[in-house]
Formats: sequence, structure tokens, C-alpha cells
Amino acid sequence: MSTTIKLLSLGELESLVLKAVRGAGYSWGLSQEAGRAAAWLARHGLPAAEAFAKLLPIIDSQPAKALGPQIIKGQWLSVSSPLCPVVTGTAMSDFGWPGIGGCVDQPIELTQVACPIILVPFLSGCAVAAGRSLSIVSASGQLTVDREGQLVSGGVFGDDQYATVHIVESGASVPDTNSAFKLRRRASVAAVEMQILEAMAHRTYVPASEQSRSGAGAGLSDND
Amino acid sequence: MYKEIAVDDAADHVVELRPPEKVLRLQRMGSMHQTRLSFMRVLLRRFAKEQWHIEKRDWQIDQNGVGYAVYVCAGPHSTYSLVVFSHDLDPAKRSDRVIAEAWDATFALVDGLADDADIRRLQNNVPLQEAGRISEKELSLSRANRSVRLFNYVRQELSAGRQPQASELDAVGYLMRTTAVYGSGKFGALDRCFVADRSELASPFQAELMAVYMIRLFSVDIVEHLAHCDAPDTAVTLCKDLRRSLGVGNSTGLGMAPFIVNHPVLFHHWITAREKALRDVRAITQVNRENLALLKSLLVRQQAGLEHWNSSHPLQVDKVSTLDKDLRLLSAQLQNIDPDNGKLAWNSLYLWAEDNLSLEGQECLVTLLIELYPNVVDHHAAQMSVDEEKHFKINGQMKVAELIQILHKNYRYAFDIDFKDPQANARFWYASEEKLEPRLGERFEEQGAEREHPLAIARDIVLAEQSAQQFKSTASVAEFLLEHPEHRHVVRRAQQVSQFPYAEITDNLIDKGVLPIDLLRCKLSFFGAIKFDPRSDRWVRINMFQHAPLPDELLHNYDDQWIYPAVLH
Repeated sequence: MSTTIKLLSLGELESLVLKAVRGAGYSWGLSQEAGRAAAWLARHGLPAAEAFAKLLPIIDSQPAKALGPQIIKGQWLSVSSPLCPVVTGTAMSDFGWPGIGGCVDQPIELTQVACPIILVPFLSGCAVAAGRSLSIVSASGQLTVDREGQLVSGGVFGDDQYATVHIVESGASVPDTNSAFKLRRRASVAAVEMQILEAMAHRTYVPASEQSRSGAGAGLSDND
Repeated sequence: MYKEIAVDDAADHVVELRPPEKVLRLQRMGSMHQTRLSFMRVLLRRFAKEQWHIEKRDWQIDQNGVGYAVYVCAGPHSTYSLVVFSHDLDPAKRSDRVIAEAWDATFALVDGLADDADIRRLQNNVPLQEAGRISEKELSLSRANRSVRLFNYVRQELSAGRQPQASELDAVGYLMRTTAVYGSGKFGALDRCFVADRSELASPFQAELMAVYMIRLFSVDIVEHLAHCDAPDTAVTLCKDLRRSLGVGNSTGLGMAPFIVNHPVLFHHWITAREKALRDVRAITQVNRENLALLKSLLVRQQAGLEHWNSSHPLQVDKVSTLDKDLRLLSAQLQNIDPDNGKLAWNSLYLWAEDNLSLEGQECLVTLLIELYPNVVDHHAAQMSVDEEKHFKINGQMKVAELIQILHKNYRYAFDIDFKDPQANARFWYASEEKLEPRLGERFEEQGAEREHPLAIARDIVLAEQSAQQFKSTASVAEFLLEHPEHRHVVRRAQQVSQFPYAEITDNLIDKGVLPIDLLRCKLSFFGAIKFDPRSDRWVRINMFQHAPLPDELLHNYDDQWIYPAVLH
């Protein structure tokens, strides 16, 4: 297997993931959320392309609605198996914290979340909106964002394909001044991940034809 | 120089902003002209104010025009280098389409001084354009082709020891035209978010335009170089006045059109700056003699410029001829303004224009009025950037009833369209697998409509409203979108528009009659482009930096109204 790494700008990664998620069948609006999430992860040095390359085959051609949480009387239930982190994260962002039913004493439990690291950017948005520090906890680790949405350094999180996670309010009530996380300017994407992302993105392109070529340029010579 | 009025004179804002449904119609957008808030003009004002030094640093180009050159642009805090690769292009490969694979010259704008290692690295990539990679040290990637006939004519004249005829130069206006200028994050370049805090890059597209300004220098240097190689004993260089009369052309297709739709909050800020500037000038209570004289002088210069606004496209030929008539009417109308008794004269003049001039004429007057009052309007240019990230989040707490309300309030035009009529639903925007080029297809005649890009805003708003009407009105938008993720992209827009009213084009972008060149012209007018010359309904050539001061002229007696060259008698 090739281990070639390609360095993308964050904008390139965002655009690629947006198209790939759209190519998997999600709506444009959800795909935009996915693109933003990927750029956020990469900027914070988290494995964005890897996570989305793993997620895409899971969500491929599935209706987004079927991969989201069910919310009954303010309580989040994972009725679907598995939960898509884009649909779930977007819902977390929309419902807000603690509107999603969480509070200090009662963490939200989400079972069978696919590629749960993708929830972190959404958690960051929730933390900013609520002005609280939030953590995502799984059996293999924990990541925390402060109330300004910054990733707190020192966290670890496994690369589980599926995990049950808890979203909890973190004790840190003030921004972590030590969290001056070194922001990355590049996203590393392994060749095998690139292949998956590009193949999915490709589904959004229309094959070239003579008729379609006429739908673009002037068709005139540039030798004048 | 003319006397500027004090800002306080403009404080009495009895004049309202023009409403979005008036400003953001495609026909009016397709009639917009550059203003002093346009990004090219902002860039050169900064260059002059901060005394930027711009020069050719290195020239390694042979007698066939093959090799590289480096230009440097140095300000008080930062330096930028344009690395140029000059090629000997087979005419058969000269195309302004994005799907071209070779060009007369290719460029990269490097953050800082480009060293030998940078040049070697770029040499393997920049000539390939989209097929190569640039790095986080670069801010822009671009290419240009010669305007072959004019280029060869100038080369021949200079080599024979003669200056070319000004009329020949004016008829085209440039020696080279760019066919793409890529910026933020493209093909490996650094993302804009990492440099947006630099004062010189805070305004939109400043890095890209900096590159274009240096491409303009190269376009003259290369023709002089080749003329000299042709006839070292007789060749002369181009005189300054002719040099200044040349800009850089640009040939642009649909690729640029989706930008202003895909960046609604940013677009709102551009339009707002322009509209506030107009409002502030219209609200000036007392017109003085100097301002009136300046307006008359600018009008004469604008009229003279029309003589060189060439186009063979019937639409544009009509527009220029109508504008010519409008400017005559305007000139006559100015005789009626009595500066000693001219309360709100600019407002009256503007309202007269709405009743008597075409959209071209009205928007040209907007440009001229804004030009009169740097002290009143220039500060608005600082508001033309925005951190879009901050406005991305959807307010899920909003109730569905309120969502329906804002849809009805802000998208009235959309609900008046009958999308069952094939005319109203005739087209679809998409990306071709060929270099991912954005294109516009015929929905009922071509394959691929299921891969449509989300630019059919009006139609999608109507669909979202229909679903929302079926949903519980007391439910939250969060609940609505969990059930209906297909409406998410337009719900986001609708919420943005309720905060940023100029964010949305109030027309149907998939109508049979849509002219993509209207979108292109609007965007390019914000860049500061002139001489719009459509080559089809979706392709336009323009001129950038024509008549702009040369690097040494930025440093002394900078002429801020360079875009209106003095009329030669």
C-alpha cells in the first residue's frame, strides 16, 4: 500500500470533503458542514482526511435522516446504528448545549458513533455558543474544547471506527491559556485516503461532452 | 487637486440606502462600473500612501523569450515576489479556456523574497498550472497569453526604433491577458485566513491584484526584450505615456460567476460599502463649485474613455451606445445645477438619472458621484472584508413560523416565479469533470442535472418554504432540519440574509434568459475592471490597471484618479 502523503491547503481539503460527502448522497447543506468540520480538524492537527475516508463508505448512499439521532422530549436517543458524526454533530450545533439535553450531571451518551472524532469541530461550535467547556469521552480517550472553542492540549482520542461516546461539561470554566495549540496550515492526506475522497467527489462532476463544452467558454480563438 | 468637503457635511443622512431588490437585479449588476472603492484602486492608494517599491529584480530570459524573471513588491512590513516563467508557445495551443494546458507566461506570487530554491521548485510546477502544486509560501498562481496581433506589432515597431501608434494600443489596451488568477488555498497556495490580518491583504483579492500589477510590468518588459533581441542596434523602449496606457487583459468565463453566490455574507459587505458611499454622497446638502467642476471634468474623461470601449458583442455594442447617449444627457443636466442654490443637488441628480437614464447610465453616475468625495466614502472600503466563518452557524433555536416569515419577507421575488414553467427552470449550474470547470447546462436537453450545484437559490427557497408550511410551526429550525436536511443550504442563506440584506441576488439564476456575464461584470467591477467586452453570454474580456501609475509614479504626485485618463487635445 502506498504511504505517499499529499499536503493540501485547508481550503482544498474543505472543498474535497464537501464534494465527497455530497457525492455520498448527503444534501449540500450537510456537505458544507462536513467540509468545515474537516478543515477545523486539519487545522488542529487531527486526522481529518483519515476520518472522512473511513466515514464515507459507511454513509455512502444512506439517507442522512436514518443516520441521525432521535430526540424525544429533549433527550437524545441513538436509535440508529451507527450514528453519523456529521448528522449528529450538525444536530448538536443546531439544538445547542444544553438544549441537546445535556447538563453537568447528565452527560449525553451516543452509542455506536462512526468516526467520532468528527464530532469535535461541532463540539467546538457548541462550546462557543454556550460559553462552556465541553469534552468528548470514549473508552480510548478524551478531547476537550474550551469555552472559546479552542482545543485544549494534551487530549488523546482513538481512531475507532465506531465508539460509544459521552459529551460532558468540562470542569474548565475559563479558557485554557495553555491550550495555545499550534494551528496547522496544511492537511496531510495519504494516497489511499485521497483515492477514496476523490472517487466520491468525482460523483458530483458531470462527464464532459461537446454540448457541455459549449456551456463554458467563448469557443473563440485566443490568437488575436 | 480639488477641495474636499468635511465629513460632517455628509452626516445628515436624509437619504435612504437603495433597497436590495433594486440593486441586486441581474440587469443592474450587469451595468455596474468600477468605483474608487474597487479593490485595484484600494491597492494602489495603499502603495502610494505607504511608498511601496516595485521593481524587476531578476531577468533570465533568452532571445526566444524563454526563461524566468522575478519582480519584487516591497512595503513597510512585507515583501512579495512575482516569479515569472516565460515560454515560447505554439500558437495552436493558445487558448483562453481553463482547459488549456500551455500559456505564453505563467506566474506565482511568493510571500517574501523568492530565493533560488523557490525558483527551482516553482519551475517544476508553475508552468503546469492546475497540474502542478505550489506551497504555503505562495499566495497566487496565474498565467497569461499574449494579445498576439498587438504584441507582434509593438515588437516590430520598437525593434525598428519607432514608438507604436497610440491608437493601435488604445484599440486593444493590453499586451497580455490573464486567463486565470488563482488565490487563497488553490493548488496548494496558502489559505487566506493565515494572512488576512496583514493590513495590505485585509481588503479582498489584494494578493491576486498585486500579482496582476506586476504582470503588467512584465508584459511591457518582455516585448521590449524581444524587440531588442530582434534588432539590438535599432530597438527602443516604449515611452512612458504608452506604457501607462497599457493594462493587463483578462479573459473570464463562468468560473467566476458562482463566487458571489457562494459567498453571500462577503458579497453583502461589498454591496453595502458601495451603497453607503452612494447614500452618503446623495445626502450631502451643499454642492460647491469645485465638486461640480470635478464632476464635469470626470464626465468628459469618462466620455472620452467610451471611444476605446470596444466590443463586437451586440449586447455590449448597444450598452455602450446607450451609455454614450446617457452621458450626453447627464452633461446637459449638470448645466442646471446651481452650486449656490443646490440643496441636495446630488440626490436630485441621482433621482433624475433613475427616471431618465438606462441602468448603464445610472450606475455610471453612481461611480462618478462616489468619486467626488474621498473623505466621505473611502472609509467604507475598509468594511469590504468579513470573517465568513462567524456567520456560518445556523440558528437552530429559531421557530419554523419565524423561518417562514423571513422567507416571505426577504424572498418575495422567488415566490413570484412559477418554477413549473420550463423557462424559469431551464438551466442548471454544475462542475464538469474537465478541470472541474463550472458550467451552465440546459436542464431539459443535457445530461447531468441531478448533479446540479446549489445555485438555484430562488427555486430552493420556494421548496424549503413548502416543506416548512407542512411542519409544526412551533417546532424549532433544528427539528425541521433534522427531518429535512435537503433544505439546510437555503435555510442558512435565509438566516444570513435577514442579517445581511445585500447578500442575495434577487433574480432567478436558472431562468432561460439568465446572462452569466451580468454576474461576471458585477464581480469584476468590484475588482476595478473596465472595458467589459463579452465574447458570449458567459464569457467576458476586461482590462485591469489600464492607465495606472507606473511604479515610480506611485511614489511622487500619485494621481488617485488614474482610471480616468486626462483627455488629450
